[in-house]
Amino acid sequence: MPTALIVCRLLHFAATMLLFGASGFLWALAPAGLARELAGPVRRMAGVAIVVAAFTAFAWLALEAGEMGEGWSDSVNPETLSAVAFETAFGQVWLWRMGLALVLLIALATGRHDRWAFTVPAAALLLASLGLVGHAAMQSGLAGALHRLNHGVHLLCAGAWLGSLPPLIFCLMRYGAPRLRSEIGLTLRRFSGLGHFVAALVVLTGIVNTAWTLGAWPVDFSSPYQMLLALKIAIVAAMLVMALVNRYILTPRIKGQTGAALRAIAINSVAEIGLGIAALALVSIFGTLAPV
Amino acid sequence: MSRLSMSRIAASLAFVLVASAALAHAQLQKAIPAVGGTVTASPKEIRLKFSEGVEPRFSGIALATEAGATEPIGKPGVDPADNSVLIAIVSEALKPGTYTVTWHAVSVDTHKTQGSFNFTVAP
Repeated sequence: MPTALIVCRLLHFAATMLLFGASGFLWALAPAGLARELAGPVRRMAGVAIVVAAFTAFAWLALEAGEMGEGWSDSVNPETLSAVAFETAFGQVWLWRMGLALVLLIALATGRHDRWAFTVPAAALLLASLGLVGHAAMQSGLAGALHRLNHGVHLLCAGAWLGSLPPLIFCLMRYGAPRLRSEIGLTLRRFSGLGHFVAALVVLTGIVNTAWTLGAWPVDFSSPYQMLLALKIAIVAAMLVMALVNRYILTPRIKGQTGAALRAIAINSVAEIGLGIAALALVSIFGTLAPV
Repeated sequence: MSRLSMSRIAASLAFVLVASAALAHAQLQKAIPAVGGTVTASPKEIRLKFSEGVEPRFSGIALATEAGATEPIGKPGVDPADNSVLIAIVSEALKPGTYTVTWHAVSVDTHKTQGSFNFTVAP
């Protein structure tokens, strides 16, 4: 039961971040010519992400019903499901999130999910609203509201970073095409500018989250929560190093159409995605643990 | 990364997967009647104060005599002014003796805890 919830959380985090980051990258960063080129792949990625995000949103409610109730039987018990949805703080948030997932699913079914001016804000809401449940919900009043807001910003920044890596890799692979080179160059410069801001916010909001949830630095490794959180911080630190290497060591070395530097950036970015998924897996686990 | 620390991490992950359901979130901070305490008159209600808000729909309080007989007790609700306080009405006056309160709670951040304690009604 806890393992199923952990897997569900991981898939939901990953899908929601991919949806927000990839479609946001296309919508906000890519100039018209490149956007046309990117539209197909991002459309497919967003489609898969919507299906996974919607399915795991519904599954999460069922698994939560089993967690709050007596196990698997309560996951399919209509009475328990309705009690979780309508009579708990989690349900109050989750009903809205499931509604939003359903709207995105309808957009996908009618082939309109590539109207990015709709999909990007909807994905942002779906991602940020994850900050309204879980450990950020443990305080009430003003402290609780600020904790949720901080967690929402943390989720959005992490999603913007991680979700934009697949279209970024796509851009790097297309850099060889002369007609796209200037637009890709412009997009990479925009990505770099925004990337500094987003990565700094991930770290800042992560520290605030830790302070509020744990109230201490995660250095007591006898606590599983602290050990896994410390591991996640180490992974994010490694991702930061890779991003900085990409930006300040490899990017200045890009010359010509393909070249080793370009390939190295792409490989680094794939590794960054792998590390990012590992970080999501860790938070999927320790989010279910007592923050002690 | 050394093999030892890798295996430590693997062991911790395995531990976490097994133990996560048993770890605690909403901790009992205070009870009226007090944990292990003695009251001079039958309490009208059992009042449990937790470290964070709880979901009344998924939380429960049971009361039993020393011999194990169940005492009737109302369905628990939260204090309207403070959702971290769970209250259940004691339906019938309790005779002098020792009683066991068994509780389980789901916190507003969706985690489960449980526990029990005794109190005594003095003759």
